[in-house]
Amino acid sequence: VNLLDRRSIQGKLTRILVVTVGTALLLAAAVLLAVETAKTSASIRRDLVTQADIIGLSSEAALTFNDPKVGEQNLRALSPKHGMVAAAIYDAQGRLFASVRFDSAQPQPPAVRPADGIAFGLQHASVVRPVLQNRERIGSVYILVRHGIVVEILQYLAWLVAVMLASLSGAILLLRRLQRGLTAPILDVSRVAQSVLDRGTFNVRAVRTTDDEVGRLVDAFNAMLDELGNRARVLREANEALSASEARYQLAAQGSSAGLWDWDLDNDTMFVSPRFKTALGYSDSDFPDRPSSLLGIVHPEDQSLLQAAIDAHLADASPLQAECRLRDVRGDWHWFLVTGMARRTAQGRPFRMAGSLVDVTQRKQSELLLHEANQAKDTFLATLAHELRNPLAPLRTGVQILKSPKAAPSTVQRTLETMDRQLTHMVRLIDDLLDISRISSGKIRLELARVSLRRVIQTAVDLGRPAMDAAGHSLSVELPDPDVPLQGDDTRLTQAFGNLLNNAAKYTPPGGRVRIRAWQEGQSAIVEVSDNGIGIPGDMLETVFDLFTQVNEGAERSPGGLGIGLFLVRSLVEMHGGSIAAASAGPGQGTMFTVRLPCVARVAAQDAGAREAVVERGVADEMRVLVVDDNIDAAETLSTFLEMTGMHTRMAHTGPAAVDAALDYRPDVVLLDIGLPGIDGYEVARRIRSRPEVSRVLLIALTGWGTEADQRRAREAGFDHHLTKPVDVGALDALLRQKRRQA
Amino acid sequence: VLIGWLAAICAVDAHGAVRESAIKAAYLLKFPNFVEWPAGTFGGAQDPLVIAVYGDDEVAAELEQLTASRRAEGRPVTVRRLREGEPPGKPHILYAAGPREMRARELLASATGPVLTVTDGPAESPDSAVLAFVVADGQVRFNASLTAAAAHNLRLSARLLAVANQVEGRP
Repeated sequence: VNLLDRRSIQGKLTRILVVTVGTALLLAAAVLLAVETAKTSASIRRDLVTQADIIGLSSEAALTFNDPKVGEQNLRALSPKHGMVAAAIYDAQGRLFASVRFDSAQPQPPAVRPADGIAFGLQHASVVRPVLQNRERIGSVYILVRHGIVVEILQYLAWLVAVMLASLSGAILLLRRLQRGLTAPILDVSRVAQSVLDRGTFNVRAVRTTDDEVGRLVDAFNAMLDELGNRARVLREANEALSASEARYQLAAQGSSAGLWDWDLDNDTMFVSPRFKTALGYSDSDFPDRPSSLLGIVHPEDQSLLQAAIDAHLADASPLQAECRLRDVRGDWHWFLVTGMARRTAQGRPFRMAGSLVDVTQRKQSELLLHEANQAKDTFLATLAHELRNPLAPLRTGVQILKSPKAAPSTVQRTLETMDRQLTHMVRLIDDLLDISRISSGKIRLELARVSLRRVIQTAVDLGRPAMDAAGHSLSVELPDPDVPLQGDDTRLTQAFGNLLNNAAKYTPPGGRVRIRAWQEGQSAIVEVSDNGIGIPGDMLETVFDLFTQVNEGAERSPGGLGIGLFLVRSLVEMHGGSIAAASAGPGQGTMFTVRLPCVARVAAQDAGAREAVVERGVADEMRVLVVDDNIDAAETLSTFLEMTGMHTRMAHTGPAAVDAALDYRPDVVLLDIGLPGIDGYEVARRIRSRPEVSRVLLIALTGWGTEADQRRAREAGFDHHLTKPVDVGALDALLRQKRRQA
Repeated sequence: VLIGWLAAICAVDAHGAVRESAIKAAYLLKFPNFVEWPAGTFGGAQDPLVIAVYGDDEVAAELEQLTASRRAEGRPVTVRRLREGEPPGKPHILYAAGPREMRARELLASATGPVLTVTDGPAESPDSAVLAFVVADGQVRFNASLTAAAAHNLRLSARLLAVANQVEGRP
């Protein structure tokens, strides 16, 4: 593997050597050559001049005494061996005086003296020197030689080249031997680096063998390996910590119902956690990492809201929080709480947003239910006000009629019947409300006894008859025969069936047919109330029993109602261990309610006789009744009513007055209002009870509050009975009769 | 120089050949360049070189003409014509020639000391004169006598001897 590297490094070194040494040698050779050439040239010149001057000196006499022979002899003295070609002497006038030619191939010396000085050609050199005598020129000497300097230079050059080649070869040989010390450590470093690359481990080291720069390179390389190893380890640890953190984060994300989203605004990609996709049933291919994936499943009605929330967040950095519906893969909508936060650059430009997606469908549904319940409550309250007000109008009118002296007795009678009916309706309404309240708070209690289903239904029919008559319905009653005995609270059962009958009368157009039937079926008593009224839509057969629910089938035909009757009925029936079901063929097809009650073993109906006696009307003579109410009108009307039934009455309007009147008048019965000025009804009752002379008096509380707590408080204060206002005259009458019998 | 040169040209042109007397005169002026007188012969650097001429007026005239503008060995030159019977005195160069050969010979012989004696024609004895003009191959040449030179305590340059026609007394 390293052969190539070695060659490469050697090649470089050799090239460097050749270039540097070659350059140095060439430079030296050039300088040597130039110096040598100059030296040779100068030597040639010097020789020429010397020879010319010698010839001139020796030829001075020849010139002086005009002896060309001697001149020629002098010239002959020059040796042709030294490249001499020709020589000549010229007289003072420049004419040729004497000449010799050593090489016949060469031309003759010029006939006329050339100019003084040296003429240096490539092959020849010539000189002309004056011959002076007493500073007077008496002639000239001319010498022409073949100097051979070119050949000399070429020879010199050949020598130089030979020397250069020899030196270079020697240098290269030396380099080959010496460079091993330089390249071996470098190749070692290279080998270590290669092994680090190949194996990915940092535990190998190069060996330092020298103490020069290469040695320091090895040291630095090893230090770098140490550093790399450290960094790799730190990086690995950081990665492990990061993945642990990521795992924790994933666990937390999976543990919560929240999905996570991470929106890269610059690249317009959005990561959404797989858990969120799975929760909505999407696969990765359905849901690519794009913002459009998420925005695409937002409910169209919520998109502008979500966009506005995002815009607001980007504008003022308030936390992003929005609720919107998201579509799952089946097309169902789920409510999600979208929260998030944008990351911004130093310039404030948002480049990334991330946050969570929390499924809040259940909460939203609860909110929706709450909202609906709230709406039902509002509707109920509005209806309640309406329902309470309805009876007041005929009552007020009736009062006006009665006050009129011109009213005929028949008119008075009819008016009184109307008022009585309205009053009854109102009282039942309020009783129902109170019962609802008790049922809701679980405070209602059944006074269980053996009851007769026949009697219960009869009583209910009696109660419902006025409403039936008013609407012109025909009511058919089929009582169970033989009677069905039940374990129950006859008042409550009567209330339940009465409500069913009232309901039937109310939701059947005038002149309709209502039927009530009862029979025994195994261990169950069945009571069926059916009509041919407006019916119930199929989807409401269950909910019709819920509180505040009404069938709003055509508002103009709806007779209104509080939507509490059927709830009450079901609650009462279920308290008796029974069940109720509604059936209807649809709107306008009439309704049938079926009540099932568990029945007990048949026994002789002796209670019936006792009840018959109670129902029988008697005279309440000689009963002394004290009526206490701070509302004078109320006290007076009640007092008047009691006197009309043949009782003695006295009135009191304050607490202390009531106590005094009780002691003074010694009544059999005290009808005592609770909310009195001075001392309240409870205190009055306690004081009366504390006096032995009146301790046997029957104390009946009259309150606007009919809750269980009120009744208990009344009992604790010493009251025998508790009646809610307005007073049910029938109930009062029954109590008074009971008192009289005891007396 | 120009005048001399022109005179020489004129001389050549006038006689169809270079006049012997002009050449001899010129040679006489050149000889001091190749002759070494004993030390102390000249008082100073500017002491004139005295040339005494006997028996050859043409040469004397040429000399006088040449020396008006030329120097010999850097010195001014004085030409003295020796009349009949007049002692030569102490010239540096004594040229004695002409038809009265005996008289000339006597005069040359009488000159002693450092005097370059020059005559015309071949010398009869080696010591009659140091230099003697001769004509060889139609050209004016001269012979030299080392014996005479030694007698006059003069040293002749080798270069002068190289161009001499004959040299007497060469060992």
